[in-house]
Amino acid sequence: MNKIITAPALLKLRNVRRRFRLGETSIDALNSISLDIHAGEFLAVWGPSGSGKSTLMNIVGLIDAPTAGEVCFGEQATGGMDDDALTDFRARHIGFVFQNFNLVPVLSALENVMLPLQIRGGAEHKARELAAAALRDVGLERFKDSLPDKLSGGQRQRVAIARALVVEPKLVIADEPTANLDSENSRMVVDLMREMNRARQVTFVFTTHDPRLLDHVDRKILLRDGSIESDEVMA
Amino acid sequence: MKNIFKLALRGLLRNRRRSLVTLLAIALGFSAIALFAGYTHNVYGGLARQSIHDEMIGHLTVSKRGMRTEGKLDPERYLLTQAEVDAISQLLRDEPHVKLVAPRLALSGLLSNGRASTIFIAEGVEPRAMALLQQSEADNAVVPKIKKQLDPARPEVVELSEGLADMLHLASGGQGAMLVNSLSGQANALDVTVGHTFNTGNARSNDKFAFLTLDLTRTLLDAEGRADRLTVLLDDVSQTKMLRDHLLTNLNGAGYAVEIQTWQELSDFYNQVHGMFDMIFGFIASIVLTVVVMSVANSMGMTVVERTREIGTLRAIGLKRSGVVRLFTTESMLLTLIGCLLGLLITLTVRWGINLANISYIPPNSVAPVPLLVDMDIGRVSFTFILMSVVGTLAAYMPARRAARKDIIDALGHV
Ligand SMILES: Nc1ncnc2c1ncn2[C@@H]1O[C@H](COP(=O)(O)OP(=O)(O)O)[C@@H](O)[C@H]1O
Ligand SMILES: [Mg+2]
Repeated sequence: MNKIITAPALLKLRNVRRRFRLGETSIDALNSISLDIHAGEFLAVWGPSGSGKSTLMNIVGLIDAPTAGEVCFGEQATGGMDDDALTDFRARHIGFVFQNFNLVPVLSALENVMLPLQIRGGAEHKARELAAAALRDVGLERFKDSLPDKLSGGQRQRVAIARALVVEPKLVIADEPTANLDSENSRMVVDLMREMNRARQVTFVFTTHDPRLLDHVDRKILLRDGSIESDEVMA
Repeated sequence: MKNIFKLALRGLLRNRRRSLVTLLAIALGFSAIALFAGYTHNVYGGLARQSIHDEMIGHLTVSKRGMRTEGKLDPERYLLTQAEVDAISQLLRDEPHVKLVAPRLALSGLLSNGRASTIFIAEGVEPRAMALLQQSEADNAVVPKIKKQLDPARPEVVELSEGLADMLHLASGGQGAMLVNSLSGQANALDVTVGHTFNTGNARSNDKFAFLTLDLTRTLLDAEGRADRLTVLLDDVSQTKMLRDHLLTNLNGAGYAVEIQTWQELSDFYNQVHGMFDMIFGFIASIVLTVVVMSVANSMGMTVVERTREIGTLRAIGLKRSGVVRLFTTESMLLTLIGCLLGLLITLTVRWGINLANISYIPPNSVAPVPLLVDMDIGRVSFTFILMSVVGTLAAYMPARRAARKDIIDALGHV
């Protein structure tokens, strides 16, 4: 697996800290994290609840900013970017999969997948084509006109994966994508992400607290109390 | 952006009951304004006809400058001379839109039945002009109006208000005498025959007023060929103000020191009613607008809170803050537009029903019933439509901005 070592760093975190203020006290959710994520990696972050996994995902996904430290996406230092620039950057390079699927309930599966394309701006018919193709890739072509509440949890998460992938991002962030699924569907979702990662060389970073889902990953990082306890690259 | 539109429309369908309640508030508010505007429009039209035709004010009144304020003190000086009457009338008749120019002459004096006498106030007018002045195309009176008429063949016949005739026990065909101070200050008396009687519609004038032929008036006043004013009838009421300015320039340019009043300036009652209705309209409109703003803001405020997690999701996948504002203001714009359209529909339906129902009522200061009709006041209705849509859209701005400012991770964590 020398691909991981030679591939350029897609994302660099340097001494990243994140402190939450809670009234008088404050919590350090992340303590001086330094980390390189390489293009094409399939990376799992795991650890007990409260260890800082979500906080790390938010910072890696550029929807939260570190209290201290640097985050570089490729050559781009993100520290100085304003909200619009960051939002644009996310729209072009980062896909998201959420624990609660977060599909728009009044839009069909296809329309949900079209959404990021339309936010980015572009012709409707083109978006429709790409979204249909993305739904086909996750095996849900038949359900393109279904509303989310007519789909099972596993199907919803697959729609969400299609939505994340439709803009051909460099990076997909998935925070606890299987926490609301049974073990069979969890397996299926992780396998699907793995398949997409292999087929398209899209970098995936996901979190889980279920060690059983870690057997097919390239790399796993164990977080504890906001620090990296171990960082294993799998053979 | 078309997808924002779709998202907004679907958003409205999400909480149908709430959207419906807001929609109804907008629609009912809109139709309240539109119907009231339509009713007042109709009343204004009726009052205008009443002033111009029934009260024979005509559209424009030409008189010597100062006549209205000083004329009582020095009638001789402020009356138009025969030469002026002829020349100005000719000038006016040559103008487009002028249908009629009628010289008028007011007088007052005592009317006697042989045993008793009382004060009268009268108008001298040519019988033919009197008939023309009272003709109006779009009259919709419930009971046909009894027109005041004088007989060109019998200049000594006078038209008396009912109260005046009753007071002196003068019936139609009865004989009386009028005693008047002539222009030169001499007492003049002439026998008159009572023609028809009429109701002025106003208790204070109904026991004093009379109409005389212009010939009789001039004889009584010893004012051959003279007039205190010229009443001008136009073929188009909407041209009144424009023509006043135009004619005034022309007449002043031709060397006549005259002034011109529009019917509106001479009709106190019209102005009072107009002023009162405009005030009520403003009152209704501001209440309705306040209700619309509050219900839209309230409804959008709740929507924004309910959809916090969705906002977080959209922001994460690349929707800018401005996009969030656009999304929710589009939603409220659709809501108010649909609400106004629904309101328009209600307005048309109710208006149709009212106009069909043949309702009539007796307005204050009036003797005859008038039909209750509602016009389509296009001007005010479109103004309301635009204002309401704008205000309704803006009402969502504060909640939308609150939504856009939300922290993404807080929003995503919201349940
Ligand atoms: N928005 C927040 N405000 C305050 N404290 C927070 C916030 N988000 C996370 N934390 C705290 O930071 C720590 C890490 O949380 P999190 O990253 O959610 O952990 P994990 O995802 O591993 O369960 C926890 O102690 C949590 O209480
Ligand atoms: Mg978490």
